[in-house]
Amino acid sequence: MALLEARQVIKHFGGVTALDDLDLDVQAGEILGLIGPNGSGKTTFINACTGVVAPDEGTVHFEGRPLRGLSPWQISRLGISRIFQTNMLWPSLTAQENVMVSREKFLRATLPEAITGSRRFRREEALVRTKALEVLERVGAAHLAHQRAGSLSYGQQKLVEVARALACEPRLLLLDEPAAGLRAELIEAMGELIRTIRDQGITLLIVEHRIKLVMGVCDRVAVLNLGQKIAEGPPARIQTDPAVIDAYLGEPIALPGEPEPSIGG
Amino acid sequence: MRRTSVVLFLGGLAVIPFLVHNPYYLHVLNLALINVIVVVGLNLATGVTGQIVLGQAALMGIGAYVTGVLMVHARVPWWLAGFLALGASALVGIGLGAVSTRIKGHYLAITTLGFNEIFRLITVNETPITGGPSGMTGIPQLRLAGLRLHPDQQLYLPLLVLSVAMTYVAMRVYRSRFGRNFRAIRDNEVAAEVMGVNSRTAKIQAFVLCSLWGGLGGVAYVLLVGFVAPNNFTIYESIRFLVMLVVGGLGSIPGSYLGALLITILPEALRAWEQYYIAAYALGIIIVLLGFPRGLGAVADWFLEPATRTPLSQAQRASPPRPETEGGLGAP
Repeated sequence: MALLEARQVIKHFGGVTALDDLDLDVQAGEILGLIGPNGSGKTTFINACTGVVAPDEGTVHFEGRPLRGLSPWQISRLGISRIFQTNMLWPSLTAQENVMVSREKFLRATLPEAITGSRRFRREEALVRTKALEVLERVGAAHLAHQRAGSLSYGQQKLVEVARALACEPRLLLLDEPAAGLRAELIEAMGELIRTIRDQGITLLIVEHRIKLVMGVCDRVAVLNLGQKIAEGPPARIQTDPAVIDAYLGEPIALPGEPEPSIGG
Repeated sequence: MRRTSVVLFLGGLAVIPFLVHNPYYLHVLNLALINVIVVVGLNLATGVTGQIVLGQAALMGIGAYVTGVLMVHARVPWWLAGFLALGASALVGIGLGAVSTRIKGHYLAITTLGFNEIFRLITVNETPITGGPSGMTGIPQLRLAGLRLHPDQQLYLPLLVLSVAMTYVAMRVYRSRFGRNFRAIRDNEVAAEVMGVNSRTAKIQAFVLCSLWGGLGGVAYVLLVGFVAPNNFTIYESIRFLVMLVVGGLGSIPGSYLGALLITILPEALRAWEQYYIAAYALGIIIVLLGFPRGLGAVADWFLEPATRTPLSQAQRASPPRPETEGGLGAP
């Protein structure tokens, strides 16, 4: 059984079909790339897996549990987290507070305890503060802890967003264009971070337009076009797939000096 | 230096009753301190959580009327009446919070406006209970044992302590798990939900806090003046609370303290200018809104910075910015 199983998922927005009978599996432990032209339904798929939109038809199962009818926060508690395509940090909160909010599901102090400042409340707050800093350190952003998210640069915001998503301790992490807007060196750093996250036992699904990054880090790649899956397989095969070249890549790409994409485990 | 300034400010407020013997001046200051509590509560829902409430006067009115009715009709002691009034306020807060999970933005503002009007109509028409349009008189004022002073002189220091305590508690909630959830919902509700924040629960919590603070202001009001009337809790009053909130700075709890003091005292101080005072008052508000969008909160937050900032943890002190992260993703 796959970690995430989507079956015959259909989603319409008015007259537009964003997802058209999509079947997609994410296997535990892998890095799956999801690519395709703009408007092919990649972000809609992530939204459907996190409860942001409800599919019109079809099912999505996570660890065998159907996600239909669950609210985003319930899905988060099951172990799915994400970053957004456009930075969606809470700008008035500090980077550290942004990460602390994601620890919500681990906190037990009640509102009366917060009002009276009980010992359990203070201990828990101190703990979550330290924990958030640890997570920021994991992505190399501990030095940004006290800056307001709104004042961070684009790359810094991406990094804090990854930290925020990791703080939920997900088993599946959905990254919607983690490298969008980043400089070339930073894209490599992001690729490195993605591998590190996988090595910590987290399964990843990456939506990305930077083909080099996708082919470099992903174990498998699925290609969407007009809401349908047109190809799925190891990166090397996807790059030469005629249907993918026709719909998205345009022409076979040469990647000088690119190491063989790692396949499997 | 900052801490000293805060202590001096509060100390200055504390010595006023020993220097000022004019009961009218003290009465205005007492009303200002009560308004502080009400506006701090409003801030938790509107400034911090981003849920516009135009019915805060009605929430204050519920605290005042429930206390008054219980004391007059049921001869309940003041502390029990106040306690029950807070319970009633919390229940209304749960109701409003539940409404806010379904109705958003301007529609919520209109709904809370309607709630304020419903409250006014009930107080005007349920004459046997509420005293009708002319209000309820003869509610026993709170008198501290052994003191033969005017109620305004007796209650000034307790109200000062209460207003500071309620502001302090609100600041603690602001920094806590709950305050973080509130602010996350205000900044981006979808992101908050995806990161595991139950937005429905959080909004209800924010409204309960808003009602509790409002209700407490009402309880204090009725114990101070011994009289309530529908005119004390109209939509106009709700808008005045909103003005105090905005002048104090949306989302700044200590700013609300200054905003409520200023907007309560200023019109009284300008009263000598007769009809021009409203123009000056309105002009002052417009200048604040245009020139200082963070309101008095910019000043208040600066003075309280060491207290409001999340302290550096051990790990943070132990690891200053590492050189290898320079130029990496974390660099500007």
